[in-house]
Amino acid sequence: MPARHERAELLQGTLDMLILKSLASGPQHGYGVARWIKSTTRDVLSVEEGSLYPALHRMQRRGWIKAEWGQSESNRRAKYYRLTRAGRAQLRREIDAWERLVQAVSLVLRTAGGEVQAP
Amino acid sequence: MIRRWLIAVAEYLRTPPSALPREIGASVTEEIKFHLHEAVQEQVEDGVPEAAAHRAASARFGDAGKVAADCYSLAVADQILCHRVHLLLTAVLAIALGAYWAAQRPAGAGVADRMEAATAGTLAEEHDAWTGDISGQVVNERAEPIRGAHVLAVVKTWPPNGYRQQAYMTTSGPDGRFTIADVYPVGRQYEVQIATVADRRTLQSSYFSSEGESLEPVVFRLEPTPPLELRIEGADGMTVEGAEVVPHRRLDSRGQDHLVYFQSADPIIQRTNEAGIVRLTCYRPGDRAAIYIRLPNREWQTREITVPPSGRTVVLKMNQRKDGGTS
Repeated sequence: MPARHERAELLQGTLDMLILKSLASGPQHGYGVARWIKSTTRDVLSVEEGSLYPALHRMQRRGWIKAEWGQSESNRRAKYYRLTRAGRAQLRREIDAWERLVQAVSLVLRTAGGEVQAP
Repeated sequence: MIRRWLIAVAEYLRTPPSALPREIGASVTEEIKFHLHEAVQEQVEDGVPEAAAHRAASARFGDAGKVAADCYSLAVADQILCHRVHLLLTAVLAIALGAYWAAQRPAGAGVADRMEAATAGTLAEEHDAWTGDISGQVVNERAEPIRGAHVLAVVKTWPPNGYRQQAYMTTSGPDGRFTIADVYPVGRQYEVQIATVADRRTLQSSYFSSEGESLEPVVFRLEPTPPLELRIEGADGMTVEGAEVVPHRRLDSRGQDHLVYFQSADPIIQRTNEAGIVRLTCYRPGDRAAIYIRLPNREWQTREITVPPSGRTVVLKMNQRKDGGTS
């Protein structure tokens, strides 16, 4: 397991995709989304948890997710978000775009020559 | 996209504006509190002291105040936009209604006001174009001028979408001439009826119909007449004092018809004396005469007679019902 100082910063524009993916398996409250990202990435991605909420509200405005108040596991009132049909379509588009990006970057990195020597 | 806006509009219409900031603020605050509470609880369950757990949860969360403000702005953005559109549409509607009301103001008034305004406008417009004069001379059988003859004119015009009939009166001057200025529209259709009535002279009239040209001066040559004495009686045979009498028509022995329009007859109304007698001096013996008569407080009635030789009194028995009637 990587040490805490080896955490990676979240790439610009990927937060929406991670949130949509976290909701793909069912409704979640904001804290649940943060916990899912942390555990799924094995604590590699460093997400300032507060930044999730403006993103959730923005996605709600765009119609990708819907929010409803419900009861949490700790028996407290919590706001649950769930994917809409538009959100699922958006998630597919974002995953496609991400995979194309990763393939393109991989092609660049696998090109022979110009290898960087380890210090 | 359209669906999202429909939802936003529905949300806007459903939410009272005063409750919106309070509701959204409370919702965002509760959501953040829940997050921090869960984060602290998880740490505490892992054995972290509560104070340290609070510090760690706050550090991971970031600036809660800024997060709340950002969430609030995003949540109310649609509402604010809807509210601005609402205000804009209301303002546009108010301006449009105001402009429509200003443009249609006469139509907004009652029917009478609308007709009055339209008529006034039409008459004012028409009057500007009315430069036609009625002029002429009244003379006797020797072509000598008759002074003080009543000249009674009625002008008929057809302003846009209407018809107008206006009466004018004057008297002839020392040279027998008369002028009634600016009473018909030169260049447009008009008709003029002119009658002259002078003491001990025949009633004469002329009628002119024009499609636009100016009216030439008219000469009325009035013949001398003896007075026609009328005695007005009620149905009970009693003479009536104060009955109003107006010569209306004279059909002379040559078959020529001369008329006084009732509308222009005011200056020549006469009243019977205490003996119920009135003398009309505009008919010649042998003329057919139509005469308007009104008993006091009654309606106008018409009587037709053949004018008898001079010196005879014609007795006219009048209906005394309120509604007048003719015989």
